[in-house]
Amino acid sequence: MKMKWLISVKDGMMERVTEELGKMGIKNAEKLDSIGVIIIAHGDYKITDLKKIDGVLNVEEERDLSI
Amino acid sequence: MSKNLKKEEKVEYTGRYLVLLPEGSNTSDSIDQISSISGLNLTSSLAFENEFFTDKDLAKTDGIVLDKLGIAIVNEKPEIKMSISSFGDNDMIVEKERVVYAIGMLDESTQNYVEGYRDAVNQMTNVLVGTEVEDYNYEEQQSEVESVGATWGLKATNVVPTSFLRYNPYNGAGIKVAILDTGFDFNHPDFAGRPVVHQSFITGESTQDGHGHGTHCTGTACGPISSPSATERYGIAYAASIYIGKVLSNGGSGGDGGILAGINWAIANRCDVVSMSLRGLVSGTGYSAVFETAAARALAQGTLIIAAAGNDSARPGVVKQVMHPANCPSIMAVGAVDVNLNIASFSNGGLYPTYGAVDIVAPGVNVYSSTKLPTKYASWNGTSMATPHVAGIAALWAQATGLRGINLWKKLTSTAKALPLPGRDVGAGLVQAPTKTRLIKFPIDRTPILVNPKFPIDPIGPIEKIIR
Repeated sequence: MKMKWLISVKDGMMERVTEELGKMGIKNAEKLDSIGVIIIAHGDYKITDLKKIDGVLNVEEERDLSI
Repeated sequence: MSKNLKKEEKVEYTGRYLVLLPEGSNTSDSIDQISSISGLNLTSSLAFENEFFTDKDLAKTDGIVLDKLGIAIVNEKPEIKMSISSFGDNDMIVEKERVVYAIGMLDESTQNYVEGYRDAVNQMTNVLVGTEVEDYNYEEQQSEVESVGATWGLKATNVVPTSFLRYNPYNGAGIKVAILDTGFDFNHPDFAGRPVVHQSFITGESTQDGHGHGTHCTGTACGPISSPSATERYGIAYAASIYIGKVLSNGGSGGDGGILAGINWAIANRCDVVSMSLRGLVSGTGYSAVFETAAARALAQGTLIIAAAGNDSARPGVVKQVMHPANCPSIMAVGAVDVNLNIASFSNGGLYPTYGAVDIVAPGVNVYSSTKLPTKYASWNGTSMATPHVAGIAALWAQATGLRGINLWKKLTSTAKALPLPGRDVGAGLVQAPTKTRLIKFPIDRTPILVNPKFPIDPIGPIEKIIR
């Protein structure tokens, strides 16, 4: 399965973080507004670069789950 | 609009507060706890003869704890207003005391007359047939009347009480339950005509359940009260609104992203309860900070997320830890027990209490429920089967109490049945549904007064119509 980055965002910072991701060339971010999480394709982005974005709380790599 | 109706619309308060103490707490400890939280000095009702006290007694203290009820009546003081949130943090529920009126209030002279009449009737009854002796044996009335035809899990959790004296009037009506799983079999006859809101988060797959797992979990949480083809009742919140989020493929697997999207969708739809019978492997300490943030935000918005602890253990030799995402502190982790209320051999344990405790347990062995056609019904094992028991019962509590989010969590754990097993394995214990006490009407087994043997001869005699 093609993995993704899961990014949790500080309250009220969704738009700001999305903008910053856009500046990095990430255009198809999936915004989950109710829980304050953004999901992006894994790409070649480094976790350290993503964590530097103002408003980002945590960044994790997507995991597999099953029944 | 009548005057009486206007009176009912306006809630009046006495100025005092009622504090519901945590389940099982004793009065002495509660008085100490309240004192440390707020500085208020309460008195126990036990300090009064026959626990009878008046408003004057109440006025002499900061408040009185009703020993038998686990409720404190607290006078209005600045300390209590400042401490309300702290009470909440300590599993106490604070309400303003309402002014209540008897239905059809009587003026004093009418009340005296009615009381006199009642006393006279009682006295006459005692003279004629003796004083009433309560010899009705409740224990003998233990009955399986209602529980015939229900799964063992529904009986063990009081969804279908096995005691004749209890009944369950709750069905989840008005509560939205989301099941994030492999989808749902929309052709299952037990759900015919039942509205189901659904969304697939699996690319290329519809919400139709191609596995059966999601239909099984949905059946336990929200299945019907009766079915022409099922061998027994298996559904708990049979009137709840069903929300199906397909986050696992027909092969039974998925990714974090789809699950987070499913949680987000459930919150956006204002679901009260989210049931997730899924798990990702973890080893060692630590939990997903992203999932924890999401779950904490869900709780804050009134959505309780419940997840399976995992089936990775092989007891008694091997006990594995609670898996992702149930190991997040803001997600309720569910373990499984069998029909003897022993921990299931596969049920994971809270090896790292801070990072993944088992919060509660539910039936998870030989659980009968619906599954996809053509099989239609199956009995399966797993913490996956235990989780929708808790979700369905959470819906009943939400309906019964109006509680949501963290308060609903506390209600579930505080009312769980303690089990003689390590807390590591069973947390607060076996989840229990809300029930009510049945109103018993005493059988009429006495001879009517007018033909009582004490008066074998009617002193007046029959009135006959004389025909001349």
